[in-house]
Amino acid sequence: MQQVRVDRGADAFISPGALLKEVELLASEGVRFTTMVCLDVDQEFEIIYLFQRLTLDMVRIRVRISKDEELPSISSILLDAVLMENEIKEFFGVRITNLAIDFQCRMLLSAKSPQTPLLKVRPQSQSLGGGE
Amino acid sequence: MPVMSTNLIKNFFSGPATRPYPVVKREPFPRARVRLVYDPDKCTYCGICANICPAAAITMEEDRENLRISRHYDSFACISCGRCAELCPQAALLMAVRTHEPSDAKVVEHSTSR
Amino acid sequence: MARVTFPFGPQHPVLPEAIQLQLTCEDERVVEVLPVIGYMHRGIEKAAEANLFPNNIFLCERICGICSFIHALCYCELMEGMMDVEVPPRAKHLRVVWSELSRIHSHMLWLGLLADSFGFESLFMQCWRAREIILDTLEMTTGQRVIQSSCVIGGVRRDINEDQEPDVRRKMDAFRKEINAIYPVFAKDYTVKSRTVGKGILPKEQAWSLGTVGPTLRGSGWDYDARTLGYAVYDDLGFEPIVEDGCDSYARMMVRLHEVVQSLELVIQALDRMPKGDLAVTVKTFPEGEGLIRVEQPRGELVEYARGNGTAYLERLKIRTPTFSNIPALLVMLPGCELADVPVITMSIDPCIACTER
Repeated sequence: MQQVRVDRGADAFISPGALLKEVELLASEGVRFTTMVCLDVDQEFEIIYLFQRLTLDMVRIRVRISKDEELPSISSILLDAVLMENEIKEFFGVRITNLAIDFQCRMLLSAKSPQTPLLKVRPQSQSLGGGE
Repeated sequence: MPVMSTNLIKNFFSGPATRPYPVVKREPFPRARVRLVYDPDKCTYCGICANICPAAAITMEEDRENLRISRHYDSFACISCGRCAELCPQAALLMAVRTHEPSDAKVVEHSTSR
Repeated sequence: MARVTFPFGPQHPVLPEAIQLQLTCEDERVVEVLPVIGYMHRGIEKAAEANLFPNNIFLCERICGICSFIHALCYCELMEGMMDVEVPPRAKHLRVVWSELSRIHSHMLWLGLLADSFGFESLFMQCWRAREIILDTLEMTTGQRVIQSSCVIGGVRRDINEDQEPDVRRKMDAFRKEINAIYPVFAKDYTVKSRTVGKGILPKEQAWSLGTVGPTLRGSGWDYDARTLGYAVYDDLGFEPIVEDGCDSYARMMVRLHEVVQSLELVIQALDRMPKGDLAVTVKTFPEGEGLIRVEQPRGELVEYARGNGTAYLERLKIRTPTFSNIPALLVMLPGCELADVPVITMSIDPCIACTER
């Protein structure tokens, strides 16, 4: 049976600066991208990167950034992450830079829909508005 | 010879798979879950159905002055999941197999305790 | 040569749902493609945070009409895993029966749409007629045809009782006859082969690195099926993932066709082995902590992540649907193909846009 519970302690916490190196290392081992989960924790975002090994196990990497910090995109290494990164940028207002294909926050939402709908706590600067 | 032709010949002689709808109607299965039937006489206004309704089609309103509870059921919001009929302790709610008659206006059922 | 960019969709006869492909063509040849989504976003992840967690089952089911049961199953298994609920064995077997039935009806729908995408109308009708048997079985056993709503946290709501079991078996026999008539047409017919063989090549290495899942991945020679990871009773049923090495649309079609036959066997096997007993256990706790689950949908692997805080509301529910990770594969499959092959190749990943955008 699958292990459903996630043991938070077992995951690697990585600084946003070291993210690209770590992903490159994983990609060279044949790891592929599965998905990303963004969590809104007060003044911070916790972003979980989920990867899949050739043995089908999951690899989890967690990155914590403050709401105004920039996060480098991993789409230059693993192209299929681009859709999920666009989604997170749109739904949470995470500042993701260097996207391979940038939908300008219009991938799922439109100009008339609520901006950053999944964001619970606005960042202090209030300057984020989904790339407006 | 194309492989499909045997099927085509068979289909040609086996009659239609459809039915002439308004004239011949399909009998619903005995356990189909289509329409919610409510019996206000049995209801004790406990509020379980309103709490568990995933579509908020059933709502309960409390009138503290007159000590009454009124219940509203919006059949157009109902998703026919049948969860309320399963959990109703008085069996005041049942799932029927026949569909609604077509309607041109939104109908909200109201009932009030005592 | 001059390049022309034009939109394919969002409304196109071959697409069951709204997706736009911005195709850049040189003469009749596609050189670049950009998928544009966003026509069907409904904000289900946001709604899931505002709903009581047992009510989310019905919300999750409505993500997709075709794989609705498996969405509910995935959510229920996730919640059960987070709350350490042990589901009764009979309920687990029933879940397998219904999820395999939904797999069959989804694949039959897709096979019909594929036949339709290259204009083989009689085959399309034949597939959908066969699918009707499965839909009748679902209505007979769960109460509804497409949105079954028969899975709850802790078990299932409906039973396949002794009166119904022979009926289900009879329907399965009838369906086997239908699929036996359809199988050789897809496998051997000249029209089908000329439109699918060698079209939409997805090389083995790229299939992995682009993150494709399900029949798209298995059609390129990888034997990854999330059912082998173990949920419900799939570990005991003993089945092998179906793999084809063709890497083209034909291989992906054959994977789905074989899966229909395999699912039929799994339904019969689950019915044979079904033990007697309870259908559900009562759940009294609330989800706490984090959970992650992978299950196999007709279109591929479905990943769900949830975070609870010990209350009746979830803090976050993340649903990664299979088509979401299959869309990047179009960036590899489409460039280089002829314009007339675009519908068939797009259909070959089985795009479910309502799933993708949630």
